[in-house]
Amino acid sequence: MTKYVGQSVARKDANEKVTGQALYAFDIDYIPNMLIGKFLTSTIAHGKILSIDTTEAEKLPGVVAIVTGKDWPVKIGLYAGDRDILAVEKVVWIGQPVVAVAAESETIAEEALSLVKIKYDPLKPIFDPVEAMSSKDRLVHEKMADYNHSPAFHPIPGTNIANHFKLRKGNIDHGFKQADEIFEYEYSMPQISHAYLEPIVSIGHYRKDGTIVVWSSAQSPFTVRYLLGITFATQTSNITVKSPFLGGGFGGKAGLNFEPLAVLLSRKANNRPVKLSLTREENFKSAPIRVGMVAKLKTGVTKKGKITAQQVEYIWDSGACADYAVNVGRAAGYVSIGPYDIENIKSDSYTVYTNKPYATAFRGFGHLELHWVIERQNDIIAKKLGIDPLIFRKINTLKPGTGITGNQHRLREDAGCIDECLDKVWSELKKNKEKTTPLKPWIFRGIGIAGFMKGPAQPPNSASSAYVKFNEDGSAIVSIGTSEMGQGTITSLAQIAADELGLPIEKIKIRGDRDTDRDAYTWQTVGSRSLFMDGNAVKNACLNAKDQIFDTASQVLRVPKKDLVIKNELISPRGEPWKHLSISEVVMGYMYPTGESIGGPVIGHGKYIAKMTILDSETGAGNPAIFETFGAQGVEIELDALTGKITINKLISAFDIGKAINPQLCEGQVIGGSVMALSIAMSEQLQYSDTGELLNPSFVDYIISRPGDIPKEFITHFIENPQEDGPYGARGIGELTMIGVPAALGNAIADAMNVDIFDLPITSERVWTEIQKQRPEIIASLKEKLMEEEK
Amino acid sequence: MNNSISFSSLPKFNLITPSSLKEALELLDQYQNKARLLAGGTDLLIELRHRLIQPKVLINLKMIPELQTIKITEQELKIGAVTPIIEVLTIPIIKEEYLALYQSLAD
Repeated sequence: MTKYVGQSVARKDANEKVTGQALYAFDIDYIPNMLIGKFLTSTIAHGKILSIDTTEAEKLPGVVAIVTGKDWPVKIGLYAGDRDILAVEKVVWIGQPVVAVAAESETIAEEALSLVKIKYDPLKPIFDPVEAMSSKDRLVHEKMADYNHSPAFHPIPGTNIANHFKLRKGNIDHGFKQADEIFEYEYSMPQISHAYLEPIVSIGHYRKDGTIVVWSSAQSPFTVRYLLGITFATQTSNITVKSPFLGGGFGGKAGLNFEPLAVLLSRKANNRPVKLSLTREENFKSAPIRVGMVAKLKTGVTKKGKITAQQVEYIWDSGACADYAVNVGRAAGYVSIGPYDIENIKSDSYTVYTNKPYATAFRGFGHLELHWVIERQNDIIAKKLGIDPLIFRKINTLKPGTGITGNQHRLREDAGCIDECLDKVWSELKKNKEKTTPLKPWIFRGIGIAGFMKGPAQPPNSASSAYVKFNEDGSAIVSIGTSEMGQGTITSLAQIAADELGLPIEKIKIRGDRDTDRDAYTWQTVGSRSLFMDGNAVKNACLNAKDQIFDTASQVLRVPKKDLVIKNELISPRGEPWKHLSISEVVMGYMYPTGESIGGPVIGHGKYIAKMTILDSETGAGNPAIFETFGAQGVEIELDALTGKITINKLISAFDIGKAINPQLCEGQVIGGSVMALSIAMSEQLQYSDTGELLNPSFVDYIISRPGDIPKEFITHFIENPQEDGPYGARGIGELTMIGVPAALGNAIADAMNVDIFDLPITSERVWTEIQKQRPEIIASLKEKLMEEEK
Repeated sequence: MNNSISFSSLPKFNLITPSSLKEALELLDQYQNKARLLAGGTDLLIELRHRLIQPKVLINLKMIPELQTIKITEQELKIGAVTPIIEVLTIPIIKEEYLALYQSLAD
């Protein structure tokens, strides 16, 4: 019986955030001699840099340093070293930083940059990812062969292809021969901005003794530390990365972004700390965004509804650098065809360079995108075959013990159940479907469902660790590496520690800011991995702490270690609670009445490492993930055929998360994730001119959801089929709450009016246009009705 | 236009606040195209920040009573340049007779 796990415990960071005491990177202004950093960016999408003249700028009083690419021409990148800190030989997107300045004030910095003169020799840019994939003469990275890259990825030098992931299973031609019907459609979605509330801030301090300190809005401070060590050719222990609370990340702060530039400025500015605070426009144009996608899916199916073949091509528009996006392509590649058991699969996932802002991780990591494709097509097929959408899916879903990748890594028996999720959502959709007729004849109602899965996309040696140390009053401090970016994981980890240690949750301290010198290591805060991986590490650390505590207590109480338990801060033999020691008597060392002391300060430590394999480069076979969280989502909508406007009446979700450690936090993830996904599905898109200029780098023109867009009703089910190797049976949820929404919406529109949409965003303009195109007879009959009413 | 820098600061300008329409017009006469008018500022401040314009003087209209009135007659609706939008929305006749205006202000 757990006291805290399973309860909606109040967030550990709620008070300081709500009272304004919480510090974010922008609030860090107490470092002596700090300067303000600022950069200017490329005005063309592709071109050689002929000259940079900074002489006038250098003369301006208050300017301490001006930096150009040539000052440190080391290429950076997470999986492929393809990005300049500041453009060196050429510029590859409008928004790419070219020159940076460190000055005594922001105004001086901006004035200095206005005095810099740059000459470019324009090259022909390429913007369309499909064109870019086959282009041999317009190359974004013609020197790709010289770049370092992780062996997990397969770039093709001489092209714009940063990575090609292949999944091969069975025999695709054989599969299509077995099919009674074949369906083939194309799908797309644009690049998207993360639109996190807190713009990126990075402070770099390259100190005179050669050590480097960084404060940054970073989801993965340990990765930042590691890559800074490589970039500046210094050992990891010479670098400290601190990341305060993050105001949202969603993957946009997951990698290495502006830290190298801030450090480089500091190095040239007499080793003074330099603070780079990005404006919102800079976040749109210069900071990374989410991939765009173009896809082609060809499905072979028997008339009874069994899918015999899936052939898919995903093309990921990665912008000018591939950063995380090669992994997005890989992750989408190894899942490829959704939570289904298909005999014959041929899947190719290409991450492609274009001359646009560069892509990084984004919540969903290729899975939101791929399920748009798979789940839309499933509905189209089901309708054509005359099979119920739920039944069609269940004919093909994965069952425990079946394989998900090419050469059959089999799902664990306790992997969770996609069918249960689908059943739950479908029954809620049907049960709650509005029975009354719409008030107006131009309002149509529809329901739509989507099933999906996701596991953390990590390297096979991804690891987490934790330590627990105690204070004199028996309270404890738990240290982990997971960042707090609003998702609330640290609260769940505190709950686990409280239950494991037998302490009240008020006596567990867990910090929301990160410091790579102080904190236990975790790989990154991404991929919905933290609760599972760090949770296991915390559990192990608590077990280790208890072992040390019991070592001492067993001597004092004269009872075997294995008989001891901790409950309500008291250590006692099982069944004899009157024979006890308090935790505070033991955790700093125990002193006998005569003065002899034994034990000492307890520091419990724990670790957890992933259980995965490398994937075969030809077939994609292997074990790609430590768990798959299954889920289903559905929507009930009302559609105005005259304006294309859609109202979401109900948003229904079911996730098999194994154990809801904190149900309220889980619900928070569902509401936040669903609304974010609806926003992406219905209104968000980065739009470019034909010269590659971002046309909507502000929230005036980049449309995100507002409170009035939130669905009227949420119905959420957390299914708890526990996964034995997760902490208390839990899997991850963070990204899952987004994934099914776009396809569910597309399917609901098709249900409402028999209109099929293949491209996001589903704006009212697009809906209206497609209704006119696909259902002109409905518009005609509505017009007739309206004219009659006029008479 | 210099779109290579995302400015946070505004360029230097003098802010003058006339207290009557007459004064404001005299100032416009004096500064000609070196001055811009500041009412709500939602467009102006963005243009300033982006360095699309660099006026020497901003003439602040917010303290001019003649520009804050709403006049409704049989024939016309006159809304002063510095009238807050919220004030316009509270007048019943706007919603009754000028629905498109009301909807675009209210959204």
